[in-house]
Amino acid sequence: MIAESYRREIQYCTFCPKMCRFVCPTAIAEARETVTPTGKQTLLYLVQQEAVPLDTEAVQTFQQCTGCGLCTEYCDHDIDVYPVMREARAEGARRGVVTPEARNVLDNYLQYGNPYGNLTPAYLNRVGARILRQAQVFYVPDVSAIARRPEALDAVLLVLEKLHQENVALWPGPMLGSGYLLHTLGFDDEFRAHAKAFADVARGARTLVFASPHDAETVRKHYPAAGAQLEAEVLTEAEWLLRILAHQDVPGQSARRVLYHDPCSLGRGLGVYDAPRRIIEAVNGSPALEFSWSGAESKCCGWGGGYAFTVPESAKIVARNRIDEAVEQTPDEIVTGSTSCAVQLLSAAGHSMPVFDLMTWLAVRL
Amino acid sequence: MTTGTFGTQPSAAQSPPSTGQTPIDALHVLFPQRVSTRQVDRVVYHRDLSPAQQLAVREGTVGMLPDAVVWPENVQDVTSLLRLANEHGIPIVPWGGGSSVVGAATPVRGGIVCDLKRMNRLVQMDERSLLYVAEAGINGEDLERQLNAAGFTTGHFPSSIYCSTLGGWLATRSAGQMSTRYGKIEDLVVSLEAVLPSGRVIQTKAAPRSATGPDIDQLLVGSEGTLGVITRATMRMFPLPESRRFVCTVFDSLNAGLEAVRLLLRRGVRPAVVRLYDELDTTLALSSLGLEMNGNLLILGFEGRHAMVEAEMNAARPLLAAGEDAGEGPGEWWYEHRYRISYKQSVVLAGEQMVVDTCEVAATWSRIREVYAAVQRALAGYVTVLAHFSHAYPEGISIYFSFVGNADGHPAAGFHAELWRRTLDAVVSAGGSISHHHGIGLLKAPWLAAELGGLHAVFARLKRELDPNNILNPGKMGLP
Repeated sequence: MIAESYRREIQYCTFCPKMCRFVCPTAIAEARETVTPTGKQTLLYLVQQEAVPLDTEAVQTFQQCTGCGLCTEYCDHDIDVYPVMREARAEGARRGVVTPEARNVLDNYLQYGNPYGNLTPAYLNRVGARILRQAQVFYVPDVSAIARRPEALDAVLLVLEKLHQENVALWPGPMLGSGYLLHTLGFDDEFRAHAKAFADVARGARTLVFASPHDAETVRKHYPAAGAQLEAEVLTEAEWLLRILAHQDVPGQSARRVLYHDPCSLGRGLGVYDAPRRIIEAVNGSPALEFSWSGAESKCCGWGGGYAFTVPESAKIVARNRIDEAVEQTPDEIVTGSTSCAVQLLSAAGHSMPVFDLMTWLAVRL
Repeated sequence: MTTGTFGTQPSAAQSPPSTGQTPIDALHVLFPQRVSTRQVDRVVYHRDLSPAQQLAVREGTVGMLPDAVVWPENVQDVTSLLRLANEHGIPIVPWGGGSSVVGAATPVRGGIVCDLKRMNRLVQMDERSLLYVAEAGINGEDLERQLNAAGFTTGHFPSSIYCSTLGGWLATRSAGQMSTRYGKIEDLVVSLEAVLPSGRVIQTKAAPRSATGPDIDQLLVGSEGTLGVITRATMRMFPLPESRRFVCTVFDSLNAGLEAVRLLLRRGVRPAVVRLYDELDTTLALSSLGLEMNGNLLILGFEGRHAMVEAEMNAARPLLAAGEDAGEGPGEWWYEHRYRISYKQSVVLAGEQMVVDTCEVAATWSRIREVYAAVQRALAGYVTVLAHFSHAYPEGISIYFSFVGNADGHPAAGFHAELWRRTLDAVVSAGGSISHHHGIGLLKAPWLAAELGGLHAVFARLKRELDPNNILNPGKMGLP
């Protein structure tokens, strides 16, 4: 039976009076019962009962979960819908039911080692001087930055220089990122292969610093089950920066109205809430502003769970909803602990609101 | 799996017009990117949250599917949809949160589900007049939080608030947990915008009161989408309370607790919260949520200006002398967990043979004890019955029964139906009303004609007059 190990979660959500629907980003974006947690789980329950088929429409529905985890905050049973949806996607992949959007991601991974396409030449061209095959500390850029915001790589180089981190090398590839999108879209065999290859490259490193919280979370939580053993300490960019900045003299002068967006994977996923806020306060001289939904209740930007790849129009609505929420705080700029979040939020904000990932913001403000 | 009719088996009223365009084609033209005929959507929208349908889903049974789902974005969209539906005789089921527990949102005749959740704006706040205007599809919790940010509250807190919508509240004649102070939804509505089955838009005037003939707002409130589609409402709001306090008392007997509540209301005290739990509800339901108590627990909650709250608490205390003071703790605990019971139903329904439901009825103070006893007698030996009394009035109070049991080898659906037959027969024979705030839908329709007497025939004639093609939510409220 599909998703047999999640029987309890599927049943509880199927018979729940939709208590978390008002915080589910996909349900809000589309105003569609089908993509509420209850709707998705009901469909999965009926697939389990063989009352409806596991077809492309069903898999598309199971893809409508960003993995933000906010539903769990409003669940008395602490149910996280995301792993259930991920397993349903994986079952679809095992049965050959793959949506065109997911197929495109898979093909890019298989051909280029990342979800976007042939990024390696541009990446090497941009940061080649800082790439080493072997290093004690690797900084692993966010694939979204390489693909969608390459200037963020310049910022990384600048910040490393300003912070005197000469011993830090940029990730050499050829695979870029942890394989998060393979995992989230349910391509388990390909994810295992990607993870093992990644671990082979990382062998000998003492520390891996991940710009993408999704990557850090994937490596910490899913690499062991994939048989990818990493000896290195795994840090998120925010955790590492805080460690470095503790020994630096930072200005703390600008006092701009900086609004901090918690990436779901950094906050609810890894429990890292304070580090980015402490960095912002130290550099800006005043605490970060907070969204009305922040910290453990922070709302999603729409990028996670492959949502920006499989349902980009709705993902943009999720981002726009977050930008609308940001406007309430009248910030000068938004800072977030993930380039993916920054890319996604910028897709909705356009020129109306500056949005920075931490490194890009530090490059400007330090 | 059963599908709806139009698009698959067009009847005379549903056949394509001479242009060759089917109603589905027309929908796609009218609502580009806002209509779905995908099976996944039709399956998910084929049921609401009524336990009868939950039991069917548990068995893997999928009933009548709607033919399509449409998401209007404004009142003109709703007008266009209803005109198309009238032209082709297509059923329209207005849909908010789809949280009806009596089957009111179930598309039993197929047709088109009209999901209003894209009409979800808080349009205007008139702080001076304590009014707000909002679109029907706004989510209850979103609405409450938006008002809170400006220093106000809806005063309306149904346990479905995380899921349900303003339009759904109005259409089903909803009541919130603090209704004794703030009133029910019919007390909170000031004016409505709605689309009649013909597509005509009506907009009633926002005034504190009018002596201008029958109240059209009140005709639509509780009509469960059978007479019109509510698209926008002007509603009362209240300043956020300065103070919220609780007085909790444990009574040895239920009657002593009921008498205390009756006297409170008679003397003009209007707590926001009035909840009297019978012994079983006190010991089982509350303890399952983490509050260990015995006896018959009465929670009174007071909120508003500090001085008013103090005065009401002082007025209440002498009437509670027959019980034992339990302090404010249980009330504060209840407030913190006030929606938590809604999570429990799924735990029971996950059990293969288990059946659970709730039944809210009302009666005058003269009849309330007999209604309570009659239901207990009717269900004795079948299920465990818990009850609490809430939504108090000078003239009476509602009873919220919860029943849970095991079908014990019998088909769960039949067992569930038999529980309801026994319960509502008992309520009617004891002189109670069959619904306090869940509405009628499919579940209670067999008892409605008797409840309303000759007025049900009047309601049916009104329905025929307004909706001659019977497009709006057909098959509900005992109507064809």
